[in-house]
Amino acid sequence: MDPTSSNRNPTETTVATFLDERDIIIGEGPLTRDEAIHRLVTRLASVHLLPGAGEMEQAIFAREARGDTVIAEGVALPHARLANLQRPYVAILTSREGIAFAPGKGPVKLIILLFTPLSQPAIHLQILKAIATALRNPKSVSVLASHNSPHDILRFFAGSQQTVSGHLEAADIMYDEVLETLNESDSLEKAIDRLTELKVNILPVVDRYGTMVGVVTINALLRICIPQYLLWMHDLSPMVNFEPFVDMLRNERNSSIADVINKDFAHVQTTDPAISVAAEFVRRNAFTCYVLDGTRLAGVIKLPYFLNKIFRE
Amino acid sequence: MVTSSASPSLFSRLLKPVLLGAATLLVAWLAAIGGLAPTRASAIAVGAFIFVVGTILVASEYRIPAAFGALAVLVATRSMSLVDVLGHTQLDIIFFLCGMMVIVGVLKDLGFMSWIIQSIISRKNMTGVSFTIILCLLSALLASILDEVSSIVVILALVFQVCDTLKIRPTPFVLIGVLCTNIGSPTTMLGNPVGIFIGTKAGFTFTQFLHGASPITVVSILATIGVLLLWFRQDIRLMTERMEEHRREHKGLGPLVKIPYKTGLFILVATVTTIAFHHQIEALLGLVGTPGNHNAFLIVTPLVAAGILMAWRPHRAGHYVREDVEWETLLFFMLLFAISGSLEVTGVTDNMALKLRTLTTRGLSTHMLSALVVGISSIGSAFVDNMTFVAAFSPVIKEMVSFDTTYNTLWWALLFGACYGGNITVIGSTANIVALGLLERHSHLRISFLEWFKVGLAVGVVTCVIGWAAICIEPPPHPAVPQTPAPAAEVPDAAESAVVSVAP
Repeated sequence: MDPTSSNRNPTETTVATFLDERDIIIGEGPLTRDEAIHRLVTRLASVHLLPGAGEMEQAIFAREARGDTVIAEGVALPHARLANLQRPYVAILTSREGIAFAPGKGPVKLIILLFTPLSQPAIHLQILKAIATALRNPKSVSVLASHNSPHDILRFFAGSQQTVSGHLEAADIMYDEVLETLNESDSLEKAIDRLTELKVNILPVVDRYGTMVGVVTINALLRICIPQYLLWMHDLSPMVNFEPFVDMLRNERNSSIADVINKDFAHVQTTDPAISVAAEFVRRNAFTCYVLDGTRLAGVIKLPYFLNKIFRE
Repeated sequence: MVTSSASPSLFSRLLKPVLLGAATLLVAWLAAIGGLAPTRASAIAVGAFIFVVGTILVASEYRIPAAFGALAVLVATRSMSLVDVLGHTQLDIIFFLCGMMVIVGVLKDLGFMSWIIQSIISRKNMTGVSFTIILCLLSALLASILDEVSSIVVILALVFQVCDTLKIRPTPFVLIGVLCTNIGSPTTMLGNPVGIFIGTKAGFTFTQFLHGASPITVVSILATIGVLLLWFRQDIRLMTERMEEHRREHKGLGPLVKIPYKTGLFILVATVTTIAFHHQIEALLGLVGTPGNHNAFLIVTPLVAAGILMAWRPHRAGHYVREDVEWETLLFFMLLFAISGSLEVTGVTDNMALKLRTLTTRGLSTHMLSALVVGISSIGSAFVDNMTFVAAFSPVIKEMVSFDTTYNTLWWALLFGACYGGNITVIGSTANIVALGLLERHSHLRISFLEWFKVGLAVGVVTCVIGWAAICIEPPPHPAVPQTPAPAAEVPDAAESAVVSVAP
């Protein structure tokens, strides 16, 4: 793909901006994971005269120890954030034979190594997302792994539509795979079933047009059973047999979740800066923040996931 | 999602304090040239009082700092001595309120309040009309035996439970509950800080107060129920429909559990009964007639009861004192009483009493004077905390009663004007403000000034007229210990504009 053929402004930053042909290692023979990472780190350090290759390698292994970075079939994306870097660095290694990268996962033919400055989580996450999006099509991986020229690989990334702006949006860090939702016409029984099956404490509720109308939480269910005026009592021991729950247990099938929908939930728009996600977590003392595209549910960000993205990813 | 809030300009930040300062100086100057505050000390006292009232009006969150500042000015300018400040903080009333707040905390803790709510929601075949009537009567009853703030917390919990279950807008029923709470609060000395203040200042016993106030409250509440049923007829009809739908689906209005209420009920009945017989107990103990012990057991009973309850539940004693006593309110009351006391100390209230008395010599009957007091105190209480007006007005009435005991009816005019006037606006009473806060926190709803004012004015006018008419038709009882009439003081001639002045 010729970069000039895309509609993208050629001055915009992409993954290719941080990639040099000299950082691409083609068709290496049989290698272990550690050998492959060592070669990539050594190449980056020698081409760009980066000090501390050993520390760079250790940072990658430490990240792998927290969880492997195989992002799709045949692709691994080992990455780390380092305090002494001034800009991001990307290196690529292809292997026709495939490399056993993580236990229980198939061999990878494409390893993309990424280092970014510690103080720039936004650019780190955007490059990760840009690479993941560019390789979403499984055929792309096979095509890239079969290239014989670093130039061809560089052209592939230069032609990608995924830009790296430097400021992180909510959409960049949301989880948008299969989203479990409830419908506003569902019964209380179904809501309780789903909450217990999925072992979650909150579920989004959408209407028949896909508009998000609120959330159902375990807390809201409990509040129906134990309203505020019962909590005034310091000693609840007279209710030894869960008497407050009797009404709900009796009526859960013919009660609508409309009774427990909370319309005041943590949410941001896809284009809102990621910092507004943090603000929603703090402001609402929430654990889950929903990402909306207009009024439609686009994704979800859970607090531990958010913290991992910002501080550890 | 991220919103930016523009900080107010220097002009808008300075506007309120400058206007407040100007109003303070203007009123103090008018009081001085009008003869109410002819001395420097009395003019400063008027200014200090107006400053606090103005702060409540424009920035009530600064009311305590404003009161601290006003007291400092009074002491620094030698308008009032420190001994006078401390002497006018009305610690008897503060102790009484403190004791009652602890008792209410214990009642909540023991489940008595929860039991009241559940007793209502467990009723069969309720309709919107019957719920509204129960809500009105319960609001008035609770306000009369507890206090208006505790009452409104219980009432709103009931309203939210029913309205949330039926999926209807709670605002009309919140309004109904608050309006009736304010009407029920002057029934006894327990219901409203204004009641205990007037009761102790005038020298009423508990039973005298009850005997005088309860018939008027009953008529007022019945009239109010009529007004409210008419005013909110559409919301009440909707509630009836939703209740019927709910019944068809065999659903209740909330969880029903067995709540042990008897201990709480016993405590409440025992406390109220002891308070009701305080005069007889004082007689038994030989306290009646001894100086400084008037109504002593009225004040002491809640403290004794609170002490016994805290000793009975030592693990919760700290909680009751920290969480159930509204220290901020009590502190403000003490400061307010002291500042109002400066009007008395500097002779301003004497001058006001003299002016009012002069009006009667010009042909204004006691009935018309009562109407004037009801009108002034109700309008005043509509915009400023009713205790502020009562604290300032009480010395005036006390002074007038010392001239002629027939002016005792003015105590009742002040009581009903202050309590019923509190219904007129959203800021008219503490119960209103507490209710607004609870509604916003629970349902994210606000009641606009106009929405409140329309129904509040209707109820306020009807009940104030009833209160005034009742006072005129059947004058309520006079205090147990009548004030000694002043030695045959000459009522100033209309032509004379002599004023009493007290040197600083």
